[in-house]
Amino acid sequence: MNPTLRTSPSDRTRAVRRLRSLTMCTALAGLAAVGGFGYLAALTYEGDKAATTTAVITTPSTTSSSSTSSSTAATPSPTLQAATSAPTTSTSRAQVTTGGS
Amino acid sequence: MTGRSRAARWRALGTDVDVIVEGGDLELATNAVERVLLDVDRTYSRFRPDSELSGLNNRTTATSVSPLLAWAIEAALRGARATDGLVDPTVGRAMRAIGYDEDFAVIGHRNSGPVLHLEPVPGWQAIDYQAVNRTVRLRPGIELDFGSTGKALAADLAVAAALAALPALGAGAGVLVSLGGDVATAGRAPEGGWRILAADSSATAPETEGEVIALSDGAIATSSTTVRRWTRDETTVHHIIDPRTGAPADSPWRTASVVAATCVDANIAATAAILLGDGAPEWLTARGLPGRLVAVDGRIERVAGWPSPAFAGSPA
Repeated sequence: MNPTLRTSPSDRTRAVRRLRSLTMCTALAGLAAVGGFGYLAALTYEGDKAATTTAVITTPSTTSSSSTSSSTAATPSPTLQAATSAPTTSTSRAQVTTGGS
Repeated sequence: MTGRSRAARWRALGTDVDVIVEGGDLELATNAVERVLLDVDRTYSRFRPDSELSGLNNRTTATSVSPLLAWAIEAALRGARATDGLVDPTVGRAMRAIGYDEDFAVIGHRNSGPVLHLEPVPGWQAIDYQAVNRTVRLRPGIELDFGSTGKALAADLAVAAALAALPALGAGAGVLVSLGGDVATAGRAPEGGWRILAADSSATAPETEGEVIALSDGAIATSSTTVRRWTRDETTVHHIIDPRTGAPADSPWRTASVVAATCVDANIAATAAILLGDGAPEWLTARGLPGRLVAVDGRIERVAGWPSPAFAGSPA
């Protein structure tokens, strides 16, 4: 041990203060690093964003798909239209014949 | 004042064409009808390889179709929807399978032909039709056949074109167009109405003794299993396919005649009545469509305001 490096109580006090401030700085820098990296990760990570988009798109996409495949089936049943006047009996000779052909 | 009725008859679309004009120029009317029938033949004849329908039946990609073919598809889909699929335009392959693969004038006299077999009917839902841009896409294996509604649509279009071709004179003119017994009327009816004989076959002469009704407006169509019958493998078949089986309909009715506002609707209802069997009277009554049903044994049932008979003509 070097006899010229004798320390005084004030030296010890200064050293303790320096060590404490170094510890505090390291801790704050760590917190800042965690927050900063977390923020950067939140900005750049697409996973949640894509999942949200999919959920939104699903409904119209499904609707569109079904309307394409069943467009002919989706329309309500039409009503066959009756003639304005009911047919009547005729005793005269017919002009034409209705029948299978 | 009652106009004079003039009539013309010729053959087109493999059937008899009758045009009667009341109070108008017959030639103008027949020219208009001929133009419509030529368009129909070119557009949706199943037996012309160069028709637009034949081209469509050979494709499975989305295809843009002409306005006339679009109307034919819409009329066919109307029939399918209104009858819960009983009147189905996707019976083309099933029809060919039972031997109806050419004009009936050919197959009716053919002694040999394809072996009789049944094809399932895919169902009208397999037609992807977009009315907005008139495009249609058929799933592979589907062949459309507008047999049930195509001729009736032609009658509706022809009668409208004929009336439009006649100059408006006095009380106006009236036109009747019959395509093989599918009868459409437009304009002013003659005094007492258009007189129509109801029979099993449209080949029955109008002056034959029988049940005659009078129409003031609208249309009448008849479906019958007594016509377009042929024999394959010693089995007699006919042209009304039941889409539930792919086979010719086995119905208690041999003939159904129905009156409606348009010939398309009358034909849809008449064909449905054959296929509905015992449920036909109730079905027609619920829709207010006057109908005359002839049972296989000849018994006649009249429903929904079809008038009681008064036999006319020349009783023997």
